Amino acid sequence: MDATRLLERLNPDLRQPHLHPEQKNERRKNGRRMEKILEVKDLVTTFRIAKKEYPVLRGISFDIHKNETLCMVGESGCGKSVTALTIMDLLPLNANVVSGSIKLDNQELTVLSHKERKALCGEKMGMIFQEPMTALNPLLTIGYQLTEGLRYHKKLDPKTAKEIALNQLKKVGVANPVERMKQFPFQLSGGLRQRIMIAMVMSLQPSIIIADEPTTALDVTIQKQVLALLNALKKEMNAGVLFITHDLGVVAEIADRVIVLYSGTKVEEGPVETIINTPKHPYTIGLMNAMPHVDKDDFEMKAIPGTIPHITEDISGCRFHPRCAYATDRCRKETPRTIEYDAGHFVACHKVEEECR
Amino acid sequence: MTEKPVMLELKKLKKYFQIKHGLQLHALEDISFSIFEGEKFGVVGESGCGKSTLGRTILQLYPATSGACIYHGKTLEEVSPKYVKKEIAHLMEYQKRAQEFYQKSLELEAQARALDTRTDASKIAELKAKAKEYRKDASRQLREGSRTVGSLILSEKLPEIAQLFSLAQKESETAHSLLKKIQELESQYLQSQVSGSPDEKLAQKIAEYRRMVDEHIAKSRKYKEKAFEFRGKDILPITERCMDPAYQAKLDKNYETGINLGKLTREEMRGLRRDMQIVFQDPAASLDPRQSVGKAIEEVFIINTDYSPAVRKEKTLALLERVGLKREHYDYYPHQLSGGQKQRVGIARAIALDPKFVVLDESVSALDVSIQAQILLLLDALSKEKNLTYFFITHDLGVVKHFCDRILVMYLGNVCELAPTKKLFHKPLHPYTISLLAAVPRPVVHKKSTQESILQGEVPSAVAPPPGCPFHTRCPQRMEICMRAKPELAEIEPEHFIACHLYSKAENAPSEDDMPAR
Repeated sequence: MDATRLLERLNPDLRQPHLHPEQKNERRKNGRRMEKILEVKDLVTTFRIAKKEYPVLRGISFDIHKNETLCMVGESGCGKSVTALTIMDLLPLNANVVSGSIKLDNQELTVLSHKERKALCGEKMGMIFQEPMTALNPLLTIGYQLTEGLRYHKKLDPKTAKEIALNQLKKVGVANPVERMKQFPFQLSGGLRQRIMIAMVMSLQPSIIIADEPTTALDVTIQKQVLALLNALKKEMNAGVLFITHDLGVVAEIADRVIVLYSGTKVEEGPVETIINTPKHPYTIGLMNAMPHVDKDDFEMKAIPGTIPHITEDISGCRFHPRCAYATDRCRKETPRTIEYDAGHFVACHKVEEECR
Repeated sequence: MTEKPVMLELKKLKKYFQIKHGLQLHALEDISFSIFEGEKFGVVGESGCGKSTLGRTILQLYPATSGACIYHGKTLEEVSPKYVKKEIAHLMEYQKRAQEFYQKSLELEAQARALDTRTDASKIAELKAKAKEYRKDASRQLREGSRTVGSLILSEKLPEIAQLFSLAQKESETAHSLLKKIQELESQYLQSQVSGSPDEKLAQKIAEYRRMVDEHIAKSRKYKEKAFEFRGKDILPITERCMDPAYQAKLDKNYETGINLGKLTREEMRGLRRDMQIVFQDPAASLDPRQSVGKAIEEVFIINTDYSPAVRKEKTLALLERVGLKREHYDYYPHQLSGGQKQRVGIARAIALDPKFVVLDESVSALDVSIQAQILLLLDALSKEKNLTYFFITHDLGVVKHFCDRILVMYLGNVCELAPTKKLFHKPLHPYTISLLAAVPRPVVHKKSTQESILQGEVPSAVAPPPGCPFHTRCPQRMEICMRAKPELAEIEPEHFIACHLYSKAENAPSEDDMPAR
């Protein structure tokens, strides 16, 4: 791992081998060495169900750099949202972070108390939720909720907070913001509510934004607007984004790097071009084949057989083997190691490992 | 396309929801199209465009505000609904109302003629337009009446026609009795031939009778022809258009055996529900958490059939296997199943009674991609096996592309475009369809998408829909006419229907001046 980092430092082009030439130039302009903003290492979270502990995250590691969007893909129940909640310290009471480290700007978070972490929430880490209606308080005006973070974290007086909030609303493309500040969430459409959420997060200038399926509840045309907005704001603020989604189309549109989760384990990680164009893990390939493609005519939908295992299910070896077409005896017994297939492209699969040899 | 039997026909279907302060939510506006038998018909649009309302209005889960929804899976005779009797009783009213409307239109036209063409041009145009509307109303009333009982009602001389038919009947009866006599005489004649002395008199009589039979038959035919002559000729003088034989033929065609679902009583509709089923979006919400899977499916048989318990259970187990579940799932409860499995139970319930028409209301939207593909493949196999007709409601263009035969694009309760899947995806014509297709996220990495292709704004409120074309507030190719007039659905190419001013008339083609500065 360290060796590859060193190599990268010597030759920045090594990091992203399949980059489009235009994008390469863009990256160079943005700075040669990308600064790590969030570092998650071997994170294990368990849930207590009927007095028994079941692991939901089984050792997940990733980092996010400044001005980078990392997409986390996987089906429901694979641990995407739990990862986000673990980082934000918003887990339910029956959850337990067993091991691993979360470093934000080189500050270890797991050793902090709940109160200290709560102070970081919002100010340094902002979160955008899937359903903006449930995330906004229906009894409070948009204005009150927008300025709350500014007053609480930045200790601003209401007047300046309101000014900043108004500016922020303009920035996210809300028409007549003065009116909107007086309205309640139920008076707004889904797309507008999501813009308010984004404005709320952005007004505190966090260094990392966690977006948990922010566009899933929106229509395609509105989704496209919101994605473009998020991208623009990310660039402007130079923040890192952890974008959680299950839609590979959205991934292709917004991501710089992608990690694919399956049942609490990371099965593949790599630059977006690699994951979309040449995925290696059978699960990622299966996902690509199951997604109906709008442009292709001769596309034949192929389903992945079986269902996602429940967290209480004990599966030996590779967690994916009951659904995998290439499963061998080794897969049933041995948990696959994560190998670096290509620079920056990590895969955890016995089949890929054997091919490499 | 026309040879395909039609399963369901919508005619100017409207659905308004009453909300407080006397306001109306225009959920559906004049939806007309047909669904063919064995077809997978897809409906796409953003949320709030009326897709689900349409599905539910077809199934009569919501009563339609106006318009008709005609089901051809069964004939009127099979169901013999009560409304036909009522309809016949109302025939005179339809005629009367049609006549009234026509009178009104005549009056208006007379008024228009009285005005000065130079000074009151706008008023004349207004009056003429109104008169035209009344005339349309008149013919609509006629159509309403003729829809169920055919064009007979248009004839004043119904008794004469009946008399002619009875005369014809009498003639053919006498011919029939004569034929019987001939048979008798022939046998007698044969006997006499056998005995050696053929009876010449008998032979003559037979020949005479034969001639008489021919005469009677010819007479009967004549009467019938006479009766048929009334058809399409002796029409009440209601509109000039009615005199046109082409229009007559059109009216005749209105006679149909389909059932107008909106006019059925609750009980009759319940009977038809065996033929028409729905699978909901959220599989968890559509199953009772306190009812086991087996019981949930068996309930369908208990209500609708009189199978014995043993047969019911056997059928349920077979169904479970057919939808890809195991026999032991019979005793499971919904919370023990995954989302995909719950949806399979929902599908099993829907197909239990061998329906002909199934509404799939966002049935795969709540599922993960890998499971979604499994369910779609299952639905596809079932449709081929049981010749099901699907009405597939979704917001996912990728799914409709690979699942449906024809696609309807809706926007704010209106039809934008209706075309076979290939045509819609290769050559989308309506600006809304184009921008919808552009907005779909694709798993292809290319240079970052440009801002221009993003459709701006949001769907307007259906309580106060914009005048003219409903899409004009967001349309990138908006013209002046779009704000005034609502485009009609027209067949631009064979099988490709579109409602947009861009394609309606050549003179309306977009010119440089019409384009708004954006």
